[in-house]
Amino acid sequence: MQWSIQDRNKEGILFDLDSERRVLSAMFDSEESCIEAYNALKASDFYSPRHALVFDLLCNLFERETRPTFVEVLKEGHELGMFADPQEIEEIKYIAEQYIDEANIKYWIAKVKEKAKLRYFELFLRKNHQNLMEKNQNELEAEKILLGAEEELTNLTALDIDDFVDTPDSLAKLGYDEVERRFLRYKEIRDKYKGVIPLDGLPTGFDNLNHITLGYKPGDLIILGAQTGHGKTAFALNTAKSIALDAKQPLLYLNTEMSREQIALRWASILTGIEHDRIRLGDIDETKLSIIFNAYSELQDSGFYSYPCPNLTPEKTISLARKFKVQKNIAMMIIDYVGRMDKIDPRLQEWQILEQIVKAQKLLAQNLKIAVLCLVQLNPDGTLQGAKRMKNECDLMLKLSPIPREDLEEDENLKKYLNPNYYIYVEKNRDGLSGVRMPIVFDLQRQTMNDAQSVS
Amino acid sequence: MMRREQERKQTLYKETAGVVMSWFNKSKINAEEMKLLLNLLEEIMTNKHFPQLTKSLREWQNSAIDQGAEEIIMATLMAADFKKPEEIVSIIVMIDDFLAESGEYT
Repeated sequence: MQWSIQDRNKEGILFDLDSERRVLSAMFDSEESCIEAYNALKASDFYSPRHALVFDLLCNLFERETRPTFVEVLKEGHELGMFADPQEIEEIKYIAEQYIDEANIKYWIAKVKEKAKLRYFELFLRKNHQNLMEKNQNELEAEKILLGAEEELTNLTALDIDDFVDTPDSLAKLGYDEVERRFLRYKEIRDKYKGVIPLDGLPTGFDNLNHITLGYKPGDLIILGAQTGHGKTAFALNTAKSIALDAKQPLLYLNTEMSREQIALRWASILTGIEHDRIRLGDIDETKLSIIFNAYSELQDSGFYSYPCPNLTPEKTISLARKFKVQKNIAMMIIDYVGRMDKIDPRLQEWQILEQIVKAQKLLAQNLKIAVLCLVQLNPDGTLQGAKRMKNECDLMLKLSPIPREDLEEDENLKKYLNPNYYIYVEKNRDGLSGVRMPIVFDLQRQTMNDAQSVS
Repeated sequence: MMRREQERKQTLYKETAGVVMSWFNKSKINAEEMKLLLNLLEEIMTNKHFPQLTKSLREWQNSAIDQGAEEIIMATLMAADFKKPEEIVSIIVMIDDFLAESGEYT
C-alpha cells in the first residue's frame, strides 16, 4: 500500500507525518512512551517507510533491554548497513527533535492509529473496486461480493487491531483441538504419570490447590484475600518460590508496602527455614550464614523480578507488566497488595476503586496472556469490600484465614492432618470445584506455607 | 527554564551524534572510531554513570604522556564494551595510572 508523497490531497486525511514523528521522538526520550507505543502500534501503522523503519529499530532495541536512545538507534542502523546517506541522519535527527510531553503519548499514538485505519479502509475500497471491475458478467453475484466485503469491513471496524472474530469454522477447529488436547493428556496421565494429573498452568505451591485448579493459567486473574498480618506476603512469596524458583518461570512481583531490603530478607527465611526474627537481628552462627548464602544462589538463578513501589497505580502496573512481558517474558505478575495502590479518582468509594483495579488486571492478564495474582485485604469479619463485583471479574478467588480453635478441637476431618493452622478457602473457581477448604501449615516465623500432611 | 535547558542539551547530544556519523560517512574516521565516539557521547550525555570518566579523558587529552601509553589507552577504549560497567571502571583506573606514572595527574 503506497501513495505518492507528492499527492498533497491525501496529507491530513490519510496520514499525519507530524504525529508519527512525535510518537517516535517520545520513544527516543522515555521508556514509558516506548512501552505504550510498542504495545499499541505496529510498523505498518506508519505511513512513512522511514518512520516505520525507525519504529522497528526502536522496538528491536527495547526488546533487547537496550534503552533506545538516538545514539543506540544510529549504532543499530549502522550494524544493519543503514544511515550511509547524511540526508538519512538529518531525517532521524529531525524526528528525534519533535519533543512532546510523555503524558501526551497516548494522544499522539491515537492519531497515528486513526490515520492507519483510514488507510486500511482506503485500501479496502480500492481492492473491492478493482475486484468488481475485474469480474465478468457471470461472476457478478452481488450477495456473495457484499458478504465478503462485509466480513473484511467488520475486522477493520473492530475496536482493536488484535480483535479476532471467530468464524464457525475456526471455532469448531478450536473446540476439537481443545478436546483432543484433553483426551491426549488424560491418556498421558493414565499411562505415563500413573494417575497423577499434570498441571495446565503454573504451579500454585500447594498440591491440593494444584489438583483443584490444574495450576494458574495464562489469562487468569486470581484474587487472594487475607486480614492484616495473616500471610498475604508470605502467600505471595511462596507462590513466587514455586513459580520463579522451582519451575524457573519468569515472574514480576510488585510490592506496595515493603522495601527492597525487607523483601530480600524474607527470602532468607523462606529458602532456609531459619526464623525470620533471628535473620533480622543477625542472631545466627557461621553455619547458618553459610546455609543462607547458598540459598540465595537459588534466588540468583531464578525468574523472580521484584519491584517495590509504594506509589503504585493501576496505570503503572499495566506499563510494568507490558515491559516485563516483552523483555523477560513473564508468566505471572503478583500485586502485593491492591488496597495500597494510589487512588485514580479521590471521589470514588473504596469498593469502586478496587473494582476498577481488578477489572483492569483481568484485561491485562488476558491481553498479555499471563496470570495475575492480586492480594486484597479482608475486613476484620472476614468479608471483602466489593466482593461480589470482584468475584465476577476473577477466575479464582481464594481466602486465607486462621482455623478457628473450635474447628481444631471439634472437626474430625481436621484431626486427620498434622498441625494445620490455616485454611485456604476456594470461594470461586471458574474451571472447577469451589467451596472447598484446604488445611495448610503456615509457619509465621519461617514465612513458609505448605499443604497440611495427612496423619498416616 | 529547566525544560529549555534540557532540550538544549538534547539538541547538542543529537547534533554531536550526527557530526560523528557524518565524519564516518566521509571516511574521516573508521567504524571502530565512530562507535567509540558514540559510546563516549552516550555515556557522558545520557547514562552519566561515571562522571570520573569525563575528568580522566579530559586530563589525558591535556597531558603529554608517552606514545606507547597513548596507544594502549586508545586500543583499550576501542575494544571496550561500554555496556559493562567494570570495563569503564578499568579504563578510568588505567588512564589515571598512566597519568600518575607520567607525573601529569592532578
